Amino acid sequence: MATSGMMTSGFSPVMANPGMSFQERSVEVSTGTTIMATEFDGGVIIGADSRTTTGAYIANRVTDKLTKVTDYIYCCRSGSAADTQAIADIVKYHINFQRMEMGEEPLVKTVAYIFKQLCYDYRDQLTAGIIVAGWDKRDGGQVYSIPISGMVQRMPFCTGGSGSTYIYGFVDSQFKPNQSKEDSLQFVSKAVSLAINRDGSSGGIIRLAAISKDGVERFTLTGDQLPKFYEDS
Amino acid sequence: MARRYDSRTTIFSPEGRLYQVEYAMEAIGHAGTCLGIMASDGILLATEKRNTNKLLDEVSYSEKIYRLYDDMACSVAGITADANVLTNELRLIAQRYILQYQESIPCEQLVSTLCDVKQAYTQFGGKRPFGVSILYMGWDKHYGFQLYQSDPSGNYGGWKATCIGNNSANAISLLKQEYKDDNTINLSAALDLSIKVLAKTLDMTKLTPDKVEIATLTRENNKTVMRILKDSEVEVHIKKYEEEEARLEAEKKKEADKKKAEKSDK
Repeated sequence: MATSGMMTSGFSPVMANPGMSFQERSVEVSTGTTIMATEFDGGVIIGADSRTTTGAYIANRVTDKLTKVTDYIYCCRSGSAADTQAIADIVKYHINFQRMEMGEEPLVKTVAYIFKQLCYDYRDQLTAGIIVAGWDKRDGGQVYSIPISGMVQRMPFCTGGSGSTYIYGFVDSQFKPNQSKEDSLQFVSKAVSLAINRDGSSGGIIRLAAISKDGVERFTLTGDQLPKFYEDS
Repeated sequence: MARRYDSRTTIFSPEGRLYQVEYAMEAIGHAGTCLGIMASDGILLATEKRNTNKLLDEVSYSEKIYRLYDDMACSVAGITADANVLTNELRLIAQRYILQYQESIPCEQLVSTLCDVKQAYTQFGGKRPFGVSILYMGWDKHYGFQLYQSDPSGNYGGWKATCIGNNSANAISLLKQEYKDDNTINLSAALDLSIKVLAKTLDMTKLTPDKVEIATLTRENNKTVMRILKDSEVEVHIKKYEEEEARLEAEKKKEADKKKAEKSDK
């Protein structure tokens, strides 16, 4: 499930740039990243860092990796920035069409399975690790993990991206099912902050979103607002 | 004489007509009435519900009104099966545009793109035209609220108020008299007007909420809101219309009695 800044061949879409070295020009733009989602009592919390890299150059330090699919369903993107953006757009296309036909909001599971279908069918050409999280009226808050090769699995909480490897111990020990919204927000922001501290490909600000029957509420933690730990004093 | 030139869409008649297209429009003239009125603060579509069979199971969203994408809806008159194919295509056109341009398709462009498809069926391919006329109501950031009508020939036009289907000519002439062309009519007045026109042109004894379906499109908080009016709300407008009619009748009677009294005095 972990992805680091990819060194595969392929043209970087970033144009000639004084900050990039010669080698970086042929490296993919990647969201070497930390993403996370967790269920709470009444919905889901999703969180991510904000760093997009081309090699060692930070192409965007305020990226929004929490992408809206519908008003109640978001996805967290890790891996190739281009691949995940393209996949998210295509899923949006399919799901909006279905929303018009059915006359009601789609299920989180449906969105997750459409992501999976694309990620699996084109797994040889894509590098995309996606977490789908949202709320629907049938099953409430749900988190679905869709790692690189295109499997799909529902879980109570999920982490992804290169930074996730450094926080397995933290999340495994600190997760509690059916937490409140505030506790879940704390849990996600602490986890992402810890990952940012150790992973070079993750950084910037922490973006959070809470999704419930009332819709989406977005938060941003910048600078001093990031949770601090022992060595941060 | 026309018989020789009406079996294929790809042939003109000697008088320069496309009979298949005209016959398609004929089919629509027998279908349930659909009327659309544009107001300063929104648009409405009012349709006559023909499927009043008690055994029919409840429809999911609506019988004749289809949501196309966030900012547009349409109602259809004609062959339902053809209508389903076209609304499916309209929904796909809208989503393809959003996928490519990352913003909503302008209303006229959606209508125009579908009409190009409809026109193709009148020129080549050897297939018959779609037996459907469509009324579209939508909002976009270029021209605000818009009402369009398209027909089997692939022609379309923008309207302030129009009608398709059964008795549409009557409805249109009534609308021409009653619709004030100064852009000040609001949605509530438009609803009243639509009930009045439907009541007068529908071939039924009494207008009831289960025989009509009315949908409105408005903008609230920078989002387009589409609603199908509940039976109780339709009932309110019908009652208002009936009371107004009764009042007018009573006045007329008073006038007539007065005249009779004057005559007899003389």
